[in-house]
Amino acid sequence: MSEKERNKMELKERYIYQVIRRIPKKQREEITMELRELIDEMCEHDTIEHVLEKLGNPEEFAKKYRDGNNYIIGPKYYDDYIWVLKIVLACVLISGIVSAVVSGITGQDWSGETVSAIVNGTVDIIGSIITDTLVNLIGGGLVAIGGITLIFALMERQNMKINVKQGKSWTPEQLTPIPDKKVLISRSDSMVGLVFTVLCAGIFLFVPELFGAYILEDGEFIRTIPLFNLEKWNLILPFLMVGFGLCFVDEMIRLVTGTYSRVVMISNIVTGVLQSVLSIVILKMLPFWNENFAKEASKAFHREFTSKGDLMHYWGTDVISNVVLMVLLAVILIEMGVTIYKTLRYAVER
Amino acid sequence: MAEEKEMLANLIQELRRGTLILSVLSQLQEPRYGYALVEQLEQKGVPIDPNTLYPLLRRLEKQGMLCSEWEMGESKPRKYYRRTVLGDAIYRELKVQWKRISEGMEALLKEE
Repeated sequence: MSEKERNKMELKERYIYQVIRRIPKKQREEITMELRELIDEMCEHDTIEHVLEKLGNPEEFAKKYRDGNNYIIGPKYYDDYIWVLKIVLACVLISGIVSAVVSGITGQDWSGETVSAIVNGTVDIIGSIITDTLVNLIGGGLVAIGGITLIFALMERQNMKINVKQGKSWTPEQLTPIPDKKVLISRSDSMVGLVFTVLCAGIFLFVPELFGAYILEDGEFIRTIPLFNLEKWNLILPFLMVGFGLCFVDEMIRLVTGTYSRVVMISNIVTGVLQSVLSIVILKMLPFWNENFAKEASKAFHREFTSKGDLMHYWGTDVISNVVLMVLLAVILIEMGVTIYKTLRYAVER
Repeated sequence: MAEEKEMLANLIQELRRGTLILSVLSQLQEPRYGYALVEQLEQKGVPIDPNTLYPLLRRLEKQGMLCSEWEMGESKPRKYYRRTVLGDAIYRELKVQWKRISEGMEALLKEE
C-alpha cells in the first residue's frame, strides 16, 4: 500500500468515525458500511480531500442521520425551565450559605477565653463556613438541577404525546375562551411559593436546630433547645422532604400552566390530600417533637411552666400536635377550596 | 450583499427540499445503490448532496417506502434500494400532486 493510499484510508476512517460517534449505536455498523461505499465511490473521480470537503462537516452529516428530537427540553418549556432553575439555584445558594454560617457558629467551642483562642476560633469558623458552603452548594445545586431537569423532561415528553393527540382532529371548537384575569396565576405568587418551599426544605434538611429556643448568655449565643426530636430526625426527615417535594411539584405545575385549569386543580387536590395524610403521620404517629423541650427550657430559663395560661404547660400532651395539625389542615383546605372555586367558576373548560 | 446571497441560498434550498422525496422515489423502481443515484440525479439536472441523500434513503426505508439489500458479490459491498408497494402507491399520488402544483405555478408565473 502506497503512502497516498494509506493517507486516504486514514482520512476516510477518521471522517466516518466523526459521523458515527454522533448517531445511535444500533445504526453505526450499517452506516459505516454505507459511508465507506459512498466515499470509495466518490474517490474514483476525485481526491479524498475534495471528497470530504464536498461531504462537509461530519457533525452536520450526523445530524441529518438522526431524526426525531435530540433535545431534553424543547423551545416551548425552555424559558420556564431556565427561570425555575435560576430561582431554585438562588434558593440553594441562600440556604446553603445560611445553613453553613449557622452550623459554623453553633458548632464552635467558645470556651477558650484568651484573645488568641477567640481569633483561632474565628479563623476555624470562617474556614468551616467556606467548606460547608461549597459542599452544600455543590450537593444542593446538583440535586436541584437534576430534579428540575427531570421534571421538565417528563413534561416535555408528556406534552409531545398530548400534541400528537390533538394534532389529528383539531377543530375551532377546541379554542378555549381567552382566560379571565381572575384565572391567571401570577408568576410572582408562584415564585414566592417556590422560594418559600425550597428555603423551608433547606432549613429542615440542613439546620433543623434553628427551630428552637435560643439560649443567650451575656448577649452571646450559646445554643438552641430544639423544638423537634433531632434524635429521631432520620426517621422524620424523609416524610418532611416528600411533603416539600409535593409542594414544589404543585407550584411548578401552577407556574408553567399559568392559569387555573383542570390540571392545576387535580394537582392541587392530589397534593392537598397527600399533604394532609403526611401531616397526620408526622404529627400524630411519628415522634416529631422534642419531648424534653419544656423541661430543658424551664431549666435554662429558670422558670416553671405550671400555670394553665402557659403554653409550655401543654408540652408533651396532644394539644400542641392537634393545634398545629388543625392549622395545617385549615391552610391546605383553604388553598384547595380557592383553587377549586376559581377553576370551576372562571376557567371554562371543555 | 452577503446576507442577501445567503438568504437566497436558503430559499433555493427550501424550494428544493419539497421535491427531494419525489425525485428519489422516481428513480427507484429498479434497485440502485446510493452513489449511482447521486450520479444519475446529477446527470438529469436534479443534483442532491450525498450527505442529504444517504440519510433520506434510510428514513424512507424506515417509513416503509423503500427496501434495501446489501450486495456483497463484487469487490465493494453496496446497498441497493428500491421502492416497495407502499412506495409505489405514494409515488403515484405524489406525482399527481406535483403535476397540479407545477401547473398552478406555471399559470401564476405566466401572469407577469
